[in-house]
Amino acid sequence: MRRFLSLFTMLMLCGVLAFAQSRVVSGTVTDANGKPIPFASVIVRGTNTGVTSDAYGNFSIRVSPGAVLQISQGSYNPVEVTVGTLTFVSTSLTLKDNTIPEVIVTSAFNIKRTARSTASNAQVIGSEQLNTIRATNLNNALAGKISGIQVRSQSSAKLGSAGNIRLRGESAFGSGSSVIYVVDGTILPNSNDVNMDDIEDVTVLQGPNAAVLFGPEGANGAVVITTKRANKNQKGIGIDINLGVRFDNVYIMPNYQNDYAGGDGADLVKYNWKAGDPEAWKALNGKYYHDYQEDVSWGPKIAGQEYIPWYSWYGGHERSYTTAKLERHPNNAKEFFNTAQTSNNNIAFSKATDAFQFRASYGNVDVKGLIPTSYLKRHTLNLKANYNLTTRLNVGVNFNYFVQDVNGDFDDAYSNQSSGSFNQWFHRHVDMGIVKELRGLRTPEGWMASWNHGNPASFDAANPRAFYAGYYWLNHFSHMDQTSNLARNDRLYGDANLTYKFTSDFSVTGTYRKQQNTTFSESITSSSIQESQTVSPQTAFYGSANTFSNRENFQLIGNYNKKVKDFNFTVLGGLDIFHQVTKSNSGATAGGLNVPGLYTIANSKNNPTIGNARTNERRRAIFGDATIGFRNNMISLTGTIRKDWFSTLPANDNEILSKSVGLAFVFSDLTKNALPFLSYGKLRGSFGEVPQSIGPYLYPGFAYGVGADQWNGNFLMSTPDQFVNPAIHGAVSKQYEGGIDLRFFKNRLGFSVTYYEAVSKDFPTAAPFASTSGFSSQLTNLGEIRKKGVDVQFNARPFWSSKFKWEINATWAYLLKNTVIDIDGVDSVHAAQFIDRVWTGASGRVSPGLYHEEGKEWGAIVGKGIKRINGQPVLDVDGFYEQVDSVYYGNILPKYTGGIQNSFEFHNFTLNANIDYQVGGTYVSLSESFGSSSGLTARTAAINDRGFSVRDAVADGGGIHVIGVDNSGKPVDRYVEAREYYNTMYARDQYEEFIYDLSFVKLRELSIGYNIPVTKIGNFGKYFTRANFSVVAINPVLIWSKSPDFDASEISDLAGEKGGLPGTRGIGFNLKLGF
Amino acid sequence: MKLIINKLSLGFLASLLIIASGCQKLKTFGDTNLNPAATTTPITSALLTNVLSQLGNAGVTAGFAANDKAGIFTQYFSEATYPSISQYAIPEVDFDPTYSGPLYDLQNIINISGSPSEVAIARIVKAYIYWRITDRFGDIPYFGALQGTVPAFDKQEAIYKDLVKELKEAVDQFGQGGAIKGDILYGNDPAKWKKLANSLRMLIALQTSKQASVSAWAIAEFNAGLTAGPITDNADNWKVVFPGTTTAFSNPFWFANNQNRDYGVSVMFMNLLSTTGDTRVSALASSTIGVPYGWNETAGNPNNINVWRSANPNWARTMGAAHRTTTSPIFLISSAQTWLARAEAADRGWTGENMINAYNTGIDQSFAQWGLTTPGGYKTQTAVALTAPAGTNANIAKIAIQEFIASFPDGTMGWNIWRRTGFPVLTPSPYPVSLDHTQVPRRYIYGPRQKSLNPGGVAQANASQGPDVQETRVWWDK
Repeated sequence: MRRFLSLFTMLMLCGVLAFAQSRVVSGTVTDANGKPIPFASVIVRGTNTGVTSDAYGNFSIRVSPGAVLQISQGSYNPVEVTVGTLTFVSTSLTLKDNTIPEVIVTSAFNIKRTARSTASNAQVIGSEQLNTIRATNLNNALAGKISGIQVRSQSSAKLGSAGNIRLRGESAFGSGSSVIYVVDGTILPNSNDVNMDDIEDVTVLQGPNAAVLFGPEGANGAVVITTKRANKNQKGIGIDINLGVRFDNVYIMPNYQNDYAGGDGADLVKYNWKAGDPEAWKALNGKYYHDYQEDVSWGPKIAGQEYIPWYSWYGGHERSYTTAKLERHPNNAKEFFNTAQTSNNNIAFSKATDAFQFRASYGNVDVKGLIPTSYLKRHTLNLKANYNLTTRLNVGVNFNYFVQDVNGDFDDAYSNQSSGSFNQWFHRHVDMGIVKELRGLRTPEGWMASWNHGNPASFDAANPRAFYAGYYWLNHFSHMDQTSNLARNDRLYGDANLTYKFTSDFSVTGTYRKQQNTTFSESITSSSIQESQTVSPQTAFYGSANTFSNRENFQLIGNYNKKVKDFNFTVLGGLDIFHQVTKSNSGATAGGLNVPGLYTIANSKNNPTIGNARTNERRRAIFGDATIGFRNNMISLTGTIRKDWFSTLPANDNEILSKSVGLAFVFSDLTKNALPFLSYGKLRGSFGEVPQSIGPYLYPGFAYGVGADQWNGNFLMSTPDQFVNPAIHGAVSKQYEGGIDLRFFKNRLGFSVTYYEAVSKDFPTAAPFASTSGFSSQLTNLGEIRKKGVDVQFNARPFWSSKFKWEINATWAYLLKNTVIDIDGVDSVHAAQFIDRVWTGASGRVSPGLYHEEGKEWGAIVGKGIKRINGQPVLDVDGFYEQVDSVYYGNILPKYTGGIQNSFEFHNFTLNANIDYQVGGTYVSLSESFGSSSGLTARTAAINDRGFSVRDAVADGGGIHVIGVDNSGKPVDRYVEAREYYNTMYARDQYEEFIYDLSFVKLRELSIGYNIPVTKIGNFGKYFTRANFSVVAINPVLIWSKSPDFDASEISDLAGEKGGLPGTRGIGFNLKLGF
Repeated sequence: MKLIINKLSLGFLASLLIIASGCQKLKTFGDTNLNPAATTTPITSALLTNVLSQLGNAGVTAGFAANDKAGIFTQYFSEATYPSISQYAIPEVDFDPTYSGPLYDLQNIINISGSPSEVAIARIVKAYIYWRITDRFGDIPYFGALQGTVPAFDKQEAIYKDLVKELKEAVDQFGQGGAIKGDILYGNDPAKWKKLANSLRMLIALQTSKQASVSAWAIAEFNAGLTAGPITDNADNWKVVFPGTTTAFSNPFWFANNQNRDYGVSVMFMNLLSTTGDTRVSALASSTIGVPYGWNETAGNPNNINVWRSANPNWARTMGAAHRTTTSPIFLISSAQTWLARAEAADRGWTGENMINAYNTGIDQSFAQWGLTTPGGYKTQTAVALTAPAGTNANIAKIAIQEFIASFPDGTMGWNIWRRTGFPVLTPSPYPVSLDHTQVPRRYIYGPRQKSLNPGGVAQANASQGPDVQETRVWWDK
């Protein structure tokens, strides 16, 4: 490091000495609003001398006295400026009629380039299109707006969960590969830690040919974020305030039945007071109750009859020992959830002069969540400063600080304490208002009252806890009150950079980047929970963990720009030195607490569990990138080469060479006169590779750890289960693409079509291996995944006048194939790789699983199902479906994804609507399977084709109609009892009925805004430069879905949902003020 | 000037090139990739402790002497809730983790240990684990396993013969000396390991008694083990005594009864005890209310297990309270099992031993194992006392039932006894999940990992031993 720094300093000094006496003029090129115009051409009239402004519109050029500069950029009217005695030339250009500003694409190291010269389909969206509703989540804000993207959102009840995105399908094994987020050149692992109000624009780079310069982390594409920067010509004093509130409510929940009460028995049972029962219960003698103990809803028909509700048996409240009417409570599950309240406020200060740009922004998001007791508090601070110390030397700083506290029980797995009960194990008739009213109600012994307690017939005075404590479930509110799961995330990231311009053509930038993250988490399960549950009690628990990670990059990049006659050359070359360390410590109690209610690790009943991990990883790369443009980039040829060395690979073979090449041809430059209706036409093609390596400490393997727990003083060690191939080496994933961009009728109509093919092959990966070899997995080079598809973007401006503007942007992506060709490197064996499933029972029973299977599309859902003969289901003698192994239910990747955004502008009003959709893809619903066997779902009380409830006895006209054949193929057509039908389906792991399509169309974002004409209202104009009020809606309408019970855009797991939290919809109000 | 600029630019590029091509620093990372939290030198005693600590585990896949599934098949246990195994559902159970886990740890010791005695222990434990796997599945990978490559499946007969050979050689290997460390079961005492190896040799040989084709071999091996000296007293029982310091280091029945309470003692087993006034019930069950076997959860069914359970809140949990504390032992191989096997061998005419003496000693040892004394008159009652002469094969039913009781709660052992002798008589679940699977299973089907990662091996095994269903009998059961 020191060596590079000294080299850099030396070069800089040389430069200063060499050019001290020359006359250099610098300047900026901006548009009418003061926004920089990058890549403008600056030519000294009458010479061949010229330069191009940089990404921020800055340039410097050497001139002789009396020179005139010709400044131009494709979409703008050119101007001429006489230099005279000026040392700084500030130029403002106006947009030509009927043109649109050149789109600027951002890539690795914050390199910017015009879309004209870009050879791959790099899509850019600006803050206005991105942040129409002031979403707090970047991934969700991208949905529908980028073609080739699948946004896998999560329920907004799950605070702090960003979901994730898939770009152009998948190209890795396991649970797939993740996209990187890059903020001003610094790589972040997730999208959450950037303030949406600070984003200027986002470039989405899909796959290797676009992302090659990012190195190994860019293999699956990159979401490149540029934050806002101060603009010189900004009006007012430079303060922007953005205030917002939003309210979210539960929208989509499973369809429940509301005709039958909870419990196991179909009839109410008479309570007869017996000796030993509490005296107070005499008041209930002779009254009727339902089965409280079984957490299913196969109970009595709800008909307003008198009964003893769950709470009557507990003393100490005003409903003690009273009866009630058995009534429907269709919204009980919904009533559990709060209305979430989000406040989202931001203030930004910015100022720019010729030499200095400064912006500071503070953002604050505060959410009171849908799940009781849950909250999120987020603070972000963004500082961006840039200072031209001399015309040659520029220093810049990007600083981002993000801190977030999230608390709450967001578990959405099987049997979780909210939706896991409502959707899987519940009493449908329970009045949630009373559950809430009695939250925290305890018996004198301290057991918390539950809707799911024992039955009075088996009350035993010697063991009252067996009756009063929760049998399986607690009062849902009490659970939330008695647990906490705090997660704090503290991230600091950004860079400091120094650029020295040796000449107007050649500069060198040194950048230090840092991305440091510390987390703290703390979980408590109270001792009262352990005491208040009789079956499978949750153990009282305290656990805490800290993690620290620090990524650093030192980058030194030389940049050479030269214009020679019709050619312009852009060459950059450099060095990227990467170092990452991670550390973590954790401790947790085991087996409960010695002193109830004392939450500290030392209070553990058993030996506490401890965790301690650290990693260290280094990588070094050199790279070069050259673009030759001909005639203002009418033709651009780009080539990139990058060589990486990895600390994680074998020392004798630790390098990977990757490269890309691309060609863009703006043929409309030649057809301007012949085809006047064609405003823009570009053909492009590219090929790229991205290196793929392995994580730290995997090679050479056979690393034996020591268990923390000792057996009477004997320590334990086990042989690692992964076999590491000593010849493991790096690989590259490849992608080819070609496309065309066309715009017609003065840019009123445009579209882009891109076709791509990608292959990942022989990549270093851990693959499952027959454990009978002694190792359950092997880390080696194998496998092949291929994909191809089409991405389309469409843009139209049906109306475009100064008074009324209507713009449509649409995207459509078609994933033609995403096939797993090879898994194990053995051609003759048909191999499969198990990934995940939504449920694994204790006795080996399982839901269908997610597999990668050779020859099948990535992510196949395969599992047990219904046996069929010639397509007819086979029924056993009792009329239930026979079980069969290995039914293929489809794959999890949607075939089509996309969206359509309409935006209208009328006088001071704006309206934006974003619809997104996906078609195809499959998921397994565990809730539907369990909820049906528990009698919760609507289907368990549907009306059959004879006009009776399926719950009525078959003999009375009820039952479920089953049609199929028997084992010998003879037709069977009969009715079976509903409960047995669903119980058998559950017992036989048959999920046919519970596997759904991921297809949906939803109106995801809607915003109506009003630009308050502040300058025209009294004295307001003195203080305000701008003001805007908007009403926004998130998820206002699910237009169409093949999955009625869950929001298919928010499925929690890859394979499906296992206790999914509800879909939500929200409405919000924003006020934006500029001073 | 221009020249200088160009020179500088060239200089910059050249220096990058120098860094790129010449500088070893770019490609050299020293010990960056060295994991500070692990060693590449295994410590064999720690590997041994690790394996021995797992032998008392429960679980469908990993259990050895406390395997839930086999215990449910053989009706030691009933599912008191969520019935499935007892209705012969076809769960997916893999033996894979046992190979990459404990078996490879043992193989590792055998490969690298410098101590012959430590290797001998590893070979004995390895034979025991393989015995457990093959008895559940039949043909399994054995001779080619644990060598880093995907192995073929081997026939059970060949495996059986090799297990006995391993045990015999292991006993001899102790003679070569070497230190023993980390032995948490026998306290590093080679004499006890030898007795265990001899007992295992006898039990494995006896398990083949249905196979007339191997009887000469089996009789010879049984007698050889007997001559060499098996376990004869409870003091030498092979058992796991849990420290109870963590859940993993605690008795699995303690854990099961404090958590899920899914299983209880089956009514069939309870009847075996109650008809003879067997006081071992106090040690083996929490009450005398046996749980009905193989019932379902269907509403309206009079045999609904949930309804029954609600009506019988004191249903029998596995093991009496005194024997399911965190530190209660799990018996792997006992003196009682060995004595009763000797009685069975005498009845089969394999040995000339005193059958009655072996039988009665076995019963007494079994009671004593649980801290009890055999009640007066227990052994002499008609249902227990052996009446037919030795060598006639006519006492098998009574001997088998005593073996069955003495082996509780070791499900695999109980299942082995039933499959070998046909006793006790088991009535299958009245509510099987599928009409294709209505009988008491006789093996486990191969798991999904084997099917996806070694499909050739599975096909070869199916061709050899029969279709991959629960009803297919393993070699010694045919």
